Amino acid sequence: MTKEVEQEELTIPIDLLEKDPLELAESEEDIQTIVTYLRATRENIRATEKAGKRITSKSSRTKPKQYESNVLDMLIKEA
Amino acid sequence: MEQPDRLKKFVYQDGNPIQKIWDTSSLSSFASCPRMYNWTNLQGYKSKVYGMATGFGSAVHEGFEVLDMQKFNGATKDEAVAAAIKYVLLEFGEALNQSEDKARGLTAALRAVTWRGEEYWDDLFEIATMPNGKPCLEQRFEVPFGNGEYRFSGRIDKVVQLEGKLYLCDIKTTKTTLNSNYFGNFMPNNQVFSYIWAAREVLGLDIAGFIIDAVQTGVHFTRFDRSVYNVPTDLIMEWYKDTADILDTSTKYFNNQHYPADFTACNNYGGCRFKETCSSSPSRRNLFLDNDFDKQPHPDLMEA
Repeated sequence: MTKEVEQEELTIPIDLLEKDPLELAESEEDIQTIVTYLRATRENIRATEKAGKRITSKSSRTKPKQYESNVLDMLIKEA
Repeated sequence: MEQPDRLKKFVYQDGNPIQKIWDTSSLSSFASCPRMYNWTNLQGYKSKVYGMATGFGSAVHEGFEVLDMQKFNGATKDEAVAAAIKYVLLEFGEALNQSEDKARGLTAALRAVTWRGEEYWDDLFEIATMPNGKPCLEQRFEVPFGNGEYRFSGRIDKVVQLEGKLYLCDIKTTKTTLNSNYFGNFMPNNQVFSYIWAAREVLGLDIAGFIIDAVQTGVHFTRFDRSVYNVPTDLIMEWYKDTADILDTSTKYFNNQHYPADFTACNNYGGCRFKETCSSSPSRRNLFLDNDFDKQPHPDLMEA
Protein backbone atom coordinates (compact mmCIF):
# COMPACT_ATOMS: atom_id res chain seq x y z
CA MET A 1 0.00 0.00 0.00
CA THR A 2 1.28 3.46 -0.86
CA LYS A 3 0.91 6.34 1.51
CA GLU A 4 2.06 9.94 1.05
CA VAL A 5 3.73 11.56 4.02
CA GLU A 6 3.87 15.38 4.21
CA GLN A 7 6.86 16.96 5.92
CA GLU A 8 6.85 20.23 7.78
CA GLU A 9 8.47 23.28 6.20
CA LEU A 10 11.77 24.69 7.50
CA THR A 11 11.85 28.27 8.67
CA ILE A 12 14.56 30.29 6.97
CA PRO A 13 16.58 32.25 9.53
CA ILE A 14 16.17 35.42 7.43
CA ASP A 15 17.02 37.72 10.31
CA LEU A 16 20.39 35.99 10.63
CA LEU A 17 21.13 35.67 6.92
CA GLU A 18 20.46 39.39 6.53
CA LYS A 19 22.47 40.33 9.60
CA ASP A 20 25.79 42.18 9.30
CA PRO A 21 28.28 39.34 8.58
CA LEU A 22 30.88 40.72 10.99
CA GLU A 23 28.31 40.78 13.81
CA LEU A 24 27.03 37.32 12.86
CA ALA A 25 30.58 35.93 12.96
CA GLU A 26 30.85 36.85 16.63
CA SER A 27 27.82 34.78 17.74
CA GLU A 28 28.41 31.04 18.06
CA GLU A 29 24.71 30.52 18.65
CA ASP A 30 23.74 32.33 15.42
CA ILE A 31 26.36 30.40 13.45
CA GLN A 32 24.98 27.15 14.85
CA THR A 33 21.42 28.13 13.84
CA ILE A 34 22.58 28.78 10.28
CA VAL A 35 24.55 25.51 10.12
CA THR A 36 21.53 23.55 11.40
CA TYR A 37 19.28 25.21 8.81
CA LEU A 38 21.73 24.60 5.94
CA ARG A 39 22.19 20.96 6.96
CA ALA A 40 18.42 20.49 6.93
CA THR A 41 18.18 22.04 3.44
CA ARG A 42 20.77 19.49 2.28
CA GLU A 43 18.58 16.64 3.44
CA ASN A 44 15.57 18.16 1.65
CA ILE A 45 17.45 18.77 -1.59
CA ARG A 46 18.86 15.25 -1.58
CA ALA A 47 15.38 13.84 -1.07
CA THR A 48 14.07 16.08 -3.87
CA GLU A 49 16.81 14.90 -6.24
CA LYS A 50 16.17 11.29 -5.28
CA ALA A 51 12.48 11.76 -6.06
CA GLY A 52 13.48 13.18 -9.47
CA LYS A 53 11.78 16.48 -8.76
CA ARG A 54 12.85 19.99 -9.70
CA ILE A 55 14.93 21.92 -7.18
CA THR A 56 13.23 25.13 -6.11
CA SER A 57 13.32 27.47 -3.15
CA LYS A 58 10.40 25.56 -1.65
CA SER A 59 11.98 22.16 -2.14
CA SER A 60 15.03 23.25 -0.13
CA ARG A 61 12.68 24.00 2.77
CA THR A 62 10.31 21.04 2.41
CA LYS A 63 10.92 17.36 1.91
CA PRO A 64 9.07 16.04 -1.12
CA LYS A 65 6.16 13.73 -0.52
CA GLN A 66 7.65 10.43 0.53
CA TYR A 67 6.25 7.08 -0.42
CA GLU A 68 6.25 4.28 2.06
CA SER A 69 6.42 1.60 -0.62
CA ASN A 70 9.17 0.96 -3.15
CA VAL A 71 9.05 3.31 -6.19
CA LEU A 72 9.39 0.33 -8.55
CA ASP A 73 6.38 -1.33 -6.94
CA MET A 74 4.42 1.86 -7.58
CA LEU A 75 5.42 1.91 -11.26
CA ILE A 76 4.30 -1.70 -11.68
CA LYS A 77 1.07 -0.96 -9.92
CA GLU A 78 0.39 2.10 -12.12
CA ALA A 79 1.22 0.15 -15.28
CA MET B 1 70.35 40.30 7.81
CA GLU B 2 69.58 41.74 4.39
CA GLN B 3 66.95 39.82 2.47
CA PRO B 4 67.73 38.86 -1.13
CA ASP B 5 65.66 40.73 -3.73
CA ARG B 6 62.41 38.98 -4.58
CA LEU B 7 62.33 37.79 -8.17
CA LYS B 8 59.81 39.81 -10.11
CA LYS B 9 57.07 38.21 -12.15
CA PHE B 10 57.13 41.04 -14.69
CA VAL B 11 59.94 43.46 -15.52
CA TYR B 12 60.53 46.21 -18.03
CA GLN B 13 63.14 45.28 -20.61
CA ASP B 14 64.14 47.90 -23.17
CA GLY B 15 61.15 49.91 -22.00
CA ASN B 16 58.59 47.15 -22.60
CA PRO B 17 56.98 44.72 -20.13
CA ILE B 18 58.01 41.07 -20.25
CA GLN B 19 56.96 38.15 -18.06
CA LYS B 20 59.74 36.32 -16.22
CA ILE B 21 57.75 34.07 -13.91
CA TRP B 22 54.96 32.18 -15.66
CA ASP B 23 51.96 30.34 -14.30
CA THR B 24 49.22 28.21 -15.83
CA SER B 25 46.85 31.14 -16.21
CA SER B 26 49.29 33.32 -18.19
CA LEU B 27 50.52 30.31 -20.17
CA SER B 28 46.96 29.42 -21.21
CA SER B 29 46.24 33.08 -21.98
CA PHE B 30 49.33 33.37 -24.24
CA ALA B 31 48.73 30.00 -25.94
CA SER B 32 45.10 30.94 -26.56
CA CYS B 33 45.72 34.36 -28.13
CA PRO B 34 49.01 36.30 -27.86
CA ARG B 35 47.27 39.64 -28.43
CA MET B 36 44.82 38.98 -25.60
CA TYR B 37 47.79 37.97 -23.43
CA ASN B 38 49.57 41.23 -24.23
CA TRP B 39 46.55 43.38 -23.39
CA THR B 40 45.54 41.40 -20.29
CA ASN B 41 48.76 40.17 -18.71
CA LEU B 42 51.41 42.62 -19.92
CA GLN B 43 49.46 45.88 -20.33
CA GLY B 44 47.00 45.12 -17.49
CA TYR B 45 43.68 45.98 -19.18
CA LYS B 46 40.87 44.79 -16.92
CA SER B 47 37.16 44.80 -17.68
CA LYS B 48 35.33 47.62 -15.86
CA VAL B 49 32.62 45.16 -14.77
CA TYR B 50 33.85 43.72 -11.47
CA GLY B 51 33.82 39.94 -11.35
CA MET B 52 32.25 38.85 -8.05
CA ALA B 53 32.90 35.28 -9.17
CA THR B 54 36.53 35.62 -8.09
CA GLY B 55 35.57 36.58 -4.54
CA PHE B 56 33.11 33.71 -4.32
CA GLY B 57 35.65 31.12 -5.48
CA SER B 58 38.19 32.37 -2.95
CA ALA B 59 35.60 32.31 -0.14
CA VAL B 60 34.65 28.69 -0.83
CA HIS B 61 38.25 27.68 -1.39
CA GLU B 62 39.51 29.23 1.84
CA GLY B 63 36.49 27.99 3.79
CA PHE B 64 37.33 24.42 2.69
CA GLU B 65 40.94 24.98 3.71
CA VAL B 66 39.80 25.93 7.21
CA LEU B 67 37.72 22.72 7.32
CA ASP B 68 40.75 20.65 6.25
CA MET B 69 43.09 22.38 8.69
CA GLN B 70 40.63 21.92 11.57
CA LYS B 71 40.15 18.26 10.75
CA PHE B 72 43.92 17.69 10.52
CA ASN B 73 44.31 19.31 13.95
CA GLY B 74 41.72 16.99 15.49
CA ALA B 75 38.63 19.22 15.67
CA THR B 76 35.17 17.66 15.58
CA LYS B 77 33.00 18.16 12.49
CA ASP B 78 30.82 20.72 14.28
CA GLU B 79 33.84 22.70 15.48
CA ALA B 80 35.43 22.64 12.03
CA VAL B 81 32.27 23.78 10.22
CA ALA B 82 31.66 26.58 12.75
CA ALA B 83 35.27 27.78 12.37
CA ALA B 84 35.02 27.73 8.56
CA ILE B 85 31.68 29.59 8.59
CA LYS B 86 33.12 32.22 10.91
CA TYR B 87 36.15 32.64 8.66
CA VAL B 88 34.02 33.12 5.52
CA LEU B 89 31.78 35.64 7.31
CA LEU B 90 34.75 37.66 8.55
CA GLU B 91 36.86 37.58 5.41
CA PHE B 92 34.28 37.60 2.62
CA GLY B 93 30.88 38.35 4.20
CA GLU B 94 30.57 41.99 3.28
CA ALA B 95 31.84 41.56 -0.29
CA LEU B 96 29.66 38.50 -1.00
CA ASN B 97 26.59 40.28 0.35
CA GLN B 98 26.97 42.71 -2.58
CA SER B 99 26.70 39.90 -5.15
CA GLU B 100 23.63 40.07 -7.35
CA ASP B 101 24.16 36.45 -8.38
CA LYS B 102 22.48 34.33 -5.70
CA ALA B 103 24.35 31.22 -6.84
CA ARG B 104 27.59 33.00 -5.92
CA GLY B 105 26.60 35.07 -2.90
CA LEU B 106 27.17 34.75 0.85
CA THR B 107 24.42 32.18 1.53
CA ALA B 108 25.72 30.01 -1.32
CA ALA B 109 29.26 30.17 0.12
CA LEU B 110 28.04 29.26 3.63
CA ARG B 111 25.98 26.41 2.15
CA ALA B 112 28.98 25.07 0.22
CA VAL B 113 31.11 25.01 3.39
CA THR B 114 28.37 23.41 5.54
CA TRP B 115 27.44 20.77 2.95
CA ARG B 116 31.12 20.02 2.33
CA GLY B 117 31.44 19.12 6.01
CA GLU B 118 28.59 16.64 5.61
CA GLU B 119 29.78 15.24 2.30
CA TYR B 120 33.46 14.65 2.93
CA TRP B 121 34.10 14.52 6.67
CA ASP B 122 34.68 10.75 6.53
CA ASP B 123 36.84 11.04 3.47
CA LEU B 124 38.93 8.35 1.79
CA PHE B 125 41.43 11.08 0.86
CA GLU B 126 43.86 11.70 3.67
CA ILE B 127 45.78 14.98 3.70
CA ALA B 128 49.50 14.28 3.40
CA THR B 129 51.85 15.45 6.14
CA MET B 130 54.91 17.62 5.48
CA PRO B 131 58.29 16.60 6.96
CA ASN B 132 57.75 19.32 9.62
CA GLY B 133 54.49 17.65 10.71
CA LYS B 134 52.21 20.28 9.16
CA PRO B 135 49.41 19.43 6.72
CA CYS B 136 50.30 19.62 3.06
CA LEU B 137 47.87 22.44 2.25
CA GLU B 138 48.33 25.54 0.10
CA GLN B 139 51.88 24.84 -1.01
CA ARG B 140 53.36 27.45 -3.34
CA PHE B 141 56.17 26.63 -5.72
CA GLU B 142 58.36 28.67 -8.03
CA VAL B 143 60.91 26.71 -10.01
CA PRO B 144 63.34 27.25 -12.91
CA PHE B 145 61.93 26.33 -16.31
CA GLY B 146 63.60 25.59 -19.66
CA ASN B 147 67.04 27.07 -20.21
CA GLY B 148 66.84 29.14 -17.01
CA GLU B 149 65.45 32.20 -18.77
CA TYR B 150 62.01 31.54 -17.30
CA ARG B 151 60.53 30.41 -14.03
CA PHE B 152 57.21 28.70 -13.37
CA SER B 153 55.03 29.21 -10.31
CA GLY B 154 51.85 27.73 -8.90
CA ARG B 155 49.91 26.96 -5.75
CA ILE B 156 49.00 23.39 -4.91
CA ASP B 157 45.75 23.34 -2.88
CA LYS B 158 46.62 20.12 -1.13
CA VAL B 159 48.47 16.84 -1.45
CA VAL B 160 46.40 13.82 -0.48
CA GLN B 161 47.01 10.14 -0.01
CA LEU B 162 44.68 7.66 -1.63
CA GLU B 163 45.30 3.91 -1.45
CA GLY B 164 48.94 4.54 -0.54
CA LYS B 165 49.59 6.90 -3.46
CA LEU B 166 50.11 10.67 -3.42
CA TYR B 167 47.94 12.97 -5.53
CA LEU B 168 47.89 16.72 -6.08
CA CYS B 169 44.38 18.03 -5.45
CA ASP B 170 42.78 21.21 -6.75
CA ILE B 171 39.38 22.64 -5.78
CA LYS B 172 37.26 24.16 -8.54
CA THR B 173 34.01 26.07 -8.10
CA THR B 174 31.64 26.21 -11.04
CA LYS B 175 28.01 26.70 -11.99
CA THR B 176 28.44 24.04 -14.68
CA THR B 177 26.95 20.56 -14.21
CA LEU B 178 29.59 18.15 -12.96
CA ASN B 179 29.49 15.59 -15.74
CA SER B 180 32.03 13.93 -18.04
CA ASN B 181 32.11 17.04 -20.26
CA TYR B 182 33.12 19.17 -17.30
CA PHE B 183 35.81 16.79 -16.08
CA GLY B 184 37.02 16.28 -19.65
CA ASN B 185 38.28 19.89 -19.55
CA PHE B 186 41.13 18.79 -17.27
CA MET B 187 42.71 16.17 -19.50
CA PRO B 188 44.89 17.34 -21.12
CA ASN B 189 45.32 20.57 -19.19
CA ASN B 190 48.16 23.02 -18.53
CA GLN B 191 47.55 23.23 -14.78
CA VAL B 192 47.35 19.48 -14.28
CA PHE B 193 50.49 18.80 -16.33
CA SER B 194 52.57 21.72 -14.99
CA TYR B 195 51.83 20.97 -11.34
CA ILE B 196 52.66 17.30 -11.80
CA TRP B 197 55.85 18.29 -13.64
CA ALA B 198 56.93 20.65 -10.83
CA ALA B 199 56.05 18.14 -8.11
CA ARG B 200 57.77 15.17 -9.77
CA GLU B 201 60.70 16.68 -11.62
CA VAL B 202 61.67 19.64 -9.42
CA LEU B 203 60.32 18.99 -5.93
CA GLY B 204 61.08 15.24 -6.18
CA LEU B 205 57.67 14.05 -4.93
CA ASP B 206 56.40 10.64 -5.99
CA ILE B 207 53.07 11.94 -7.32
CA ALA B 208 50.73 9.45 -9.01
CA GLY B 209 48.40 12.03 -10.51
CA PHE B 210 45.97 14.88 -10.05
CA ILE B 211 42.51 15.14 -8.53
CA ILE B 212 39.95 17.76 -9.52
CA ASP B 213 37.72 18.30 -6.49
CA ALA B 214 34.77 20.15 -8.01
CA VAL B 215 31.94 22.09 -6.38
CA GLN B 216 28.87 23.08 -8.36
CA THR B 217 26.88 25.90 -6.80
CA GLY B 218 23.30 26.81 -7.65
CA VAL B 219 20.85 29.19 -6.00
CA HIS B 220 19.43 26.46 -3.74
CA PHE B 221 21.95 23.63 -3.89
CA THR B 222 25.60 22.62 -3.90
CA ARG B 223 26.92 19.46 -5.55
CA PHE B 224 30.30 17.81 -5.19
CA ASP B 225 32.19 15.43 -7.40
CA ARG B 226 35.79 14.45 -8.06
CA SER B 227 37.85 13.05 -10.86
CA VAL B 228 41.24 11.38 -10.62
CA TYR B 229 43.76 11.76 -13.45
CA ASN B 230 46.71 9.37 -13.53
CA VAL B 231 49.19 11.01 -15.90
CA PRO B 232 52.21 9.05 -17.18
CA THR B 233 55.61 10.77 -17.17
CA ASP B 234 56.06 10.68 -20.96
CA LEU B 235 52.96 12.88 -21.32
CA ILE B 236 54.36 15.32 -18.77
CA MET B 237 57.72 15.50 -20.57
CA GLU B 238 55.96 16.13 -23.87
CA TRP B 239 54.04 18.99 -22.21
CA TYR B 240 57.32 20.36 -20.87
CA LYS B 241 58.90 20.42 -24.34
CA ASP B 242 55.81 22.04 -25.87
CA THR B 243 55.70 24.67 -23.15
CA ALA B 244 59.39 25.52 -23.54
CA ASP B 245 58.64 26.16 -27.24
CA ILE B 246 55.65 28.32 -26.35
CA LEU B 247 57.75 30.43 -23.96
CA ASP B 248 60.47 30.81 -26.61
CA THR B 249 57.76 32.05 -28.95
CA SER B 250 56.73 34.62 -26.32
CA THR B 251 60.32 35.90 -26.26
CA LYS B 252 60.28 36.16 -30.05
CA TYR B 253 57.05 38.20 -29.92
CA PHE B 254 58.55 40.39 -27.23
CA ASN B 255 61.67 41.00 -29.32
CA ASN B 256 59.50 41.99 -32.30
CA GLN B 257 57.03 43.82 -30.05
CA HIS B 258 54.25 42.19 -32.02
CA TYR B 259 51.73 39.90 -30.36
CA PRO B 260 49.52 38.43 -33.12
CA ALA B 261 45.83 37.71 -32.60
CA ASP B 262 44.41 34.20 -32.83
CA PHE B 263 40.81 34.57 -34.01
CA THR B 264 40.04 30.91 -33.33
CA ALA B 265 39.90 31.83 -29.61
CA CYS B 266 37.46 34.75 -29.99
CA ASN B 267 34.38 32.77 -28.99
CA ASN B 268 35.84 30.61 -26.25
CA TYR B 269 34.26 30.75 -22.80
CA GLY B 270 31.33 32.95 -23.80
CA GLY B 271 33.40 35.25 -26.04
CA CYS B 272 36.61 37.24 -25.56
CA ARG B 273 36.13 40.64 -23.89
CA PHE B 274 38.41 42.20 -26.50
CA LYS B 275 36.30 41.11 -29.50
CA GLU B 276 34.94 44.59 -30.11
CA THR B 277 38.40 46.12 -29.75
CA CYS B 278 39.89 43.63 -32.20
CA SER B 279 37.05 44.33 -34.65
CA SER B 280 37.96 48.02 -34.81
CA SER B 281 40.65 49.57 -36.95
CA PRO B 282 44.13 49.32 -35.34
CA SER B 283 44.36 53.11 -35.30
CA ARG B 284 41.20 53.34 -33.12
CA ARG B 285 41.91 50.49 -30.71
CA ASN B 286 43.33 52.64 -27.94
CA LEU B 287 39.98 54.46 -27.78
CA PHE B 288 38.17 51.17 -27.13
CA LEU B 289 40.78 50.05 -24.62
CA ASP B 290 40.59 53.35 -22.71
CA ASN B 291 36.77 53.45 -22.72
CA ASP B 292 35.95 49.84 -21.91
CA PHE B 293 38.80 48.84 -19.62
CA ASP B 294 40.74 49.99 -16.59
CA LYS B 295 44.49 49.80 -16.96
CA GLN B 296 46.00 48.13 -13.87
CA PRO B 297 49.41 46.70 -14.70
CA HIS B 298 50.86 44.05 -12.38
CA PRO B 299 52.30 45.57 -9.16
CA ASP B 300 55.82 44.55 -10.25
CA LEU B 301 55.46 46.89 -13.22
CA MET B 302 54.09 49.69 -11.05
CA GLU B 303 57.17 49.53 -8.80
CA ALA B 304 59.55 49.75 -11.74
